[in-house]
Amino acid sequence: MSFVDLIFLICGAIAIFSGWRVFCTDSMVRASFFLLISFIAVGVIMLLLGAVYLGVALFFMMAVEMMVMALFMVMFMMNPAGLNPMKMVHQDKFAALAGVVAFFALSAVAVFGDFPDQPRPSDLDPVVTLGKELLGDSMLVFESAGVTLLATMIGVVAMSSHRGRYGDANAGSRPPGLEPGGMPAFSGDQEGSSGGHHHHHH
Amino acid sequence: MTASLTNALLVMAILAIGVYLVAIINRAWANALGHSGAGNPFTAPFYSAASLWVAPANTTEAPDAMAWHLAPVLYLTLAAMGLALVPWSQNLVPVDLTTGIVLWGALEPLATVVIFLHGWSANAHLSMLGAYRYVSLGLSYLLVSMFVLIGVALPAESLQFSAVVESQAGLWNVIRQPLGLPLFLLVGLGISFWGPLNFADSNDLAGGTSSESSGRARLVWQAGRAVMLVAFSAIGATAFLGGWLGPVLPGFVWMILKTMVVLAMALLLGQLIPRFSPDRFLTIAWVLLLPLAFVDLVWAGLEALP
Amino acid sequence: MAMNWLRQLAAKAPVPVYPLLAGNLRTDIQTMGLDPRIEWVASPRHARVLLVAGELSPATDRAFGKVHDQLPGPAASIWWQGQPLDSLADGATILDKADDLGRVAHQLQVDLLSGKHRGEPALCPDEPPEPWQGLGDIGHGGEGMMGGKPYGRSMAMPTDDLRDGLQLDPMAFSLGPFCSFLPPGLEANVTLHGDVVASFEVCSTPYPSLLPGVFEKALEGPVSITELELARARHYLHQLGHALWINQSGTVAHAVFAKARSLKPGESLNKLKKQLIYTGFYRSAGADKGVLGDSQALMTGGVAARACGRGSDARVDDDGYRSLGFKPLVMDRGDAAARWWLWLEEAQRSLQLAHDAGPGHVKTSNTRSVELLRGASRDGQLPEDGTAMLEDLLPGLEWSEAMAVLASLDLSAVQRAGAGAEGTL
Repeated sequence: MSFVDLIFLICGAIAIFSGWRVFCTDSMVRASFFLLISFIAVGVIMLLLGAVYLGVALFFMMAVEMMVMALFMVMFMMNPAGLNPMKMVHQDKFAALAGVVAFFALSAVAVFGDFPDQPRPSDLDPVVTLGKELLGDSMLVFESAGVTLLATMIGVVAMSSHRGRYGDANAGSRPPGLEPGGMPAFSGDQEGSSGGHHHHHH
Repeated sequence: MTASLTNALLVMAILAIGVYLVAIINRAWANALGHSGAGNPFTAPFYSAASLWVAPANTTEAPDAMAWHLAPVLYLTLAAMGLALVPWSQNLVPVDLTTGIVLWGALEPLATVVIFLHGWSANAHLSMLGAYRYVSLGLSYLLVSMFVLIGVALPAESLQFSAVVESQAGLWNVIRQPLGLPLFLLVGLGISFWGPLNFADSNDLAGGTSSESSGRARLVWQAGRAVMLVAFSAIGATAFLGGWLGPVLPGFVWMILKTMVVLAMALLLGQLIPRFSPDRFLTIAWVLLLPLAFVDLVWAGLEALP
Repeated sequence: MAMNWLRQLAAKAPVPVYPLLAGNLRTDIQTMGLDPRIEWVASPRHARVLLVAGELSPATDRAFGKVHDQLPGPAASIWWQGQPLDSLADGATILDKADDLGRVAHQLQVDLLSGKHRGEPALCPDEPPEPWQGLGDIGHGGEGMMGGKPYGRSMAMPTDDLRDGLQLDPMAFSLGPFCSFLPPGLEANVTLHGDVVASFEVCSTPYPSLLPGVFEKALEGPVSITELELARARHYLHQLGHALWINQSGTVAHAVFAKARSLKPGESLNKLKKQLIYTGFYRSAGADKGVLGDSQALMTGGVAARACGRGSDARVDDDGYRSLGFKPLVMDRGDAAARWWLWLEEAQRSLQLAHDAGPGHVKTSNTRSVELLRGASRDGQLPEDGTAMLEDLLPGLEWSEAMAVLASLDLSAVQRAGAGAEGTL
């Protein structure tokens, strides 16, 4: 068994173990970071496969993503950060069954599948090749997806922010009438800040 | 195998010297600014380190034990990984990855996660406040750092740090892209939460994320911060000040000198400038620094056009 | 017991000491911190030695125990200006003179490191303050996903936000009375929304500040203006130093305390003034916050009132000062930066007055109206505690801004020390 095999086995074990722990912990913060550990182990496996850029990119993508996810879950979910213990899973029996079936199905593909034998050419530079692929023929797709996402994010922040350029965003606002031009369903001082209490469902 | 062992030893040695160097320069600045209690810059760091090493450990009520113990070690490890990417001279690069800049870009968000865990895991309100405050500001640094580093990768046409140095043979990036180094230095102060950007471990939270730790855990944490700042200075010297390039003296001497200049500057800023308000800094980061980073990137792109 | 080489090295480090202030002694503590053999730390977790300054009252026993037990053991206490607690009285280290702190603390550190001092017993029982009270199938404390108080705290629920409409779960906790960044004695129940203070309820007011001896005498009869103004300059510099420390300029703060220790009449503070402007201290956290309203300004008095253009300076009623051409310094911005700015300006002016009064030994003449360090005494009436205004002033500010604003205000009541109290100067 070579050094690379050993690293692969260790990382594979870490990825599976921490992936399993995600569903056992009672805290959203811990769950996020167990998932991060799992992804980092997968990233190392990608490095072993010679996908230098993708492996490293997975590290920073997942680090930012899990950090933001943990933060937002704590902000928006009831029972933030598992301060009070709670059951974190729904339909766990079905999900576990589906997971096991999927695992074995994918493993079966990996083990019994007939893969073409195409060794990597020795002069191939994976980073350059990937760059040519991303910024060559597929550039339009990637760039339009990227710009759309960015515009969405900026738009969401601008629309949801209370602080507007000309004062509070909801100052003087009025809920729509029940019929065109009619009275709103309810009115009062608390409109600006009401509505938030409907967020409690899980 | 021997080569990688030598490289590992080299990184360890730079790490130890780096921590010592930060302590010396920091104390020297403190003395220069009129701090009477900073002590002899050369011996006092050993005393303080020994004092933390032998100090008793402590624990808090119901901490997340694993994260609580691992966070300082992980932070130091991430800083050491950053240090390993630095090309000290043409032939002396501990880890010369073709995606060095991307790996450096991955270390910063991972450090953010570790800093958060350090504050969160203690299960105490002041340290948790430091952790959340850090994360809410961290994203704004990360973007700036990414754009600035892509800016130096453009003229090099490579994501490899040694190629970035070689691309500066004609003109250093600090002149070619004047916005880069100041922005990068600011990110460095932010990620190692030093001085004006110390939002994580600040005095208004009685030490923030490290307010609950003592002894060796605190020593490792402080060492990690110091190494992170050294790594930032070294990467800054590599990316903007031409790395090992320079006349007469051997390459690694130039590299060490440049790193020390950047480090000394960062530490002086850290001592002199008081902390911003997080709210104001967030506005500055998104409204001023991020657009400046865009300008830097466009500048670099136009400059790199054939 | 012999020490190994690591412990011998460690014994040479400055002793990390947590100052637990059971009296309004911050100025003295700041001066004592200039001793290179000790180093003040902001959290008891970072300390090896606890300095208990002042007389503990039985009301704070529980709070004292909590701070005491946070020092990682073995740790030891030093008692200054007060009697040791009965449970710790056996073999307690008592400090007679403030100057001795460095030597005594260093000796304690050596004893702790060598194992000669075995540390003090814990004062609080080692058990969770809120015992586990879980119910339900996984112990979550109630029916379904919600409810219950398994750790003595109920499920956090979002409440209306003060700032941007993003509803967050509030975090409530209490701080003080021995917190390093609050005025000594101030105990508060704080509710935070994220980083924003939603409510700040004062549970116990800060310890009253005792008048320095020379001010005490100024209430009785004529005193030398030089002496009075030097004490004033010194006090303002210490206040400014604390604000610098809160905003992470510990080194500059240390230099300010060192300067305050040896002030000379007529000395110029221009270098410090320029340094603070150019390094952006007047733009640091909280600088543009904490604007006082009219009644708040009048209640606070002194520099805080003059910083919002309200209030006067009792020194104009004094013939001695009038002979020196005294005019009050007034600003109209009223925020924290204005108060910091005015502290430094007042210190500078006090040094100038001390110099001008020097040759002729000009003395004060009015004992009924004396400008104190905070506010003025009029006909024997001393300024009262004003911390209640924090409940209106701090909500809506971010935590670091709130703490900086707190460091720009001196709100504790002023008291006469009475006979036999000296040494604060």
